[in-house]
Amino acid sequence: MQSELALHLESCAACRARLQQEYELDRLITAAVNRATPAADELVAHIEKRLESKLTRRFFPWQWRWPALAGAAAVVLFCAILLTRFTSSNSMHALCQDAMDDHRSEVVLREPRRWHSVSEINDLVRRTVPQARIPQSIAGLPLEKGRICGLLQAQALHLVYGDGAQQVSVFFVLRQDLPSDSLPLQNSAKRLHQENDAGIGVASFAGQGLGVVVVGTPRLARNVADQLVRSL
Amino acid sequence: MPHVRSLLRTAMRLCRRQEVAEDLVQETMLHAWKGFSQFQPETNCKAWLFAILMNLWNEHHRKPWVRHETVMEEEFDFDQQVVPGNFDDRVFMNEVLAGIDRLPEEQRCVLLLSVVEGLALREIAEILKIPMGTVMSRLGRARATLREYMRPNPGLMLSSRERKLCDAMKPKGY
Repeated sequence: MQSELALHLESCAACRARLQQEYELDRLITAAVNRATPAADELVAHIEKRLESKLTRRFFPWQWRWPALAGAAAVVLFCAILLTRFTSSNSMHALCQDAMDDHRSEVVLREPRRWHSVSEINDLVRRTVPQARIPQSIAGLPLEKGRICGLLQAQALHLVYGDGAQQVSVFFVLRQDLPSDSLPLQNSAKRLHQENDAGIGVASFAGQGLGVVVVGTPRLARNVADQLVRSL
Repeated sequence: MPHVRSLLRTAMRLCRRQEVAEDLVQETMLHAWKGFSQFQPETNCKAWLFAILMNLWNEHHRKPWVRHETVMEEEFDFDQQVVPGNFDDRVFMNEVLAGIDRLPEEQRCVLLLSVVEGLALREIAEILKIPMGTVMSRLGRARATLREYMRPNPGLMLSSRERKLCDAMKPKGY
């Protein structure tokens, strides 16, 4: 193709002249653009400086990236373990929380529930915790009312003791219906688990095949639980 | 540092403002440095750098605030180019430069990459992401438009050298 063009140009003066004009135009364009371009020395120096600064900035993270990553992973792992430990489903805490929620809504806030009078409570005891000996009063507070409810999806007897000025909830549930770790110790009635949440105290213990959770003001809950531990 | 002057040469004609052109070249070199692993050694480094430059320029164009930074054609004084040399040369070169700068950008890019930078048509097509036929037609149109611009003004007194140059640029039969 190029040889054909060369041959043609040798024989055609017009095309030769046209090509010459193209070359001239190209030379003119190149010369004009070149002459209007400022010296690039300063720019080159500036670019080199920026690249050098980037290189020195990158050196440190690059060198320490694996230790840094390992450290970050360790921190994340540690946080995850802590988080799991404190937020995992702690059955003992869940049982207390459940009882506390019931006490708050049904006794403190008096949300409408169907309560049974003292005369009907014996029947409720028979149906739920037949082996329990239910005291008619604890810590000077007489038995007011009772109902059957659920604690951790187990059937429980919720009894309310009160004298008009203060009230305490006592939940009885069959030990076998609860998760094994939801009460302090399997056969030790003396061990109490206590929690406080915004002015409400919870005490729980196990004994004689029963799980017992007491909810009220912190001191009252503790006193009632102590008396129940002794009586059971 | 290779090709910086070439990049600056083209950038100057794209941006028409030295500080913007220098920023563009600087960004081009930084991008090239960061993405050097993408460069294929058997290919033309200059074409690769120009591809980066054109990409950055296109991105720059897409930004809404770009119109405040670059000089628009209507406000660009084509006669105020700084071209060194003697007076006659300066006047004539300014005319040529003004002609180049008046070209539509798409034609100007192709003309600069082909004529000034000496890149192959295939490389230009890759840089601008257009078919090779489009490159050729744009180049032809750019040359023709430039010739049109460069027609000597009848009222203008030209030196014999300028006249000779202008004659050389006239299409056959003009």
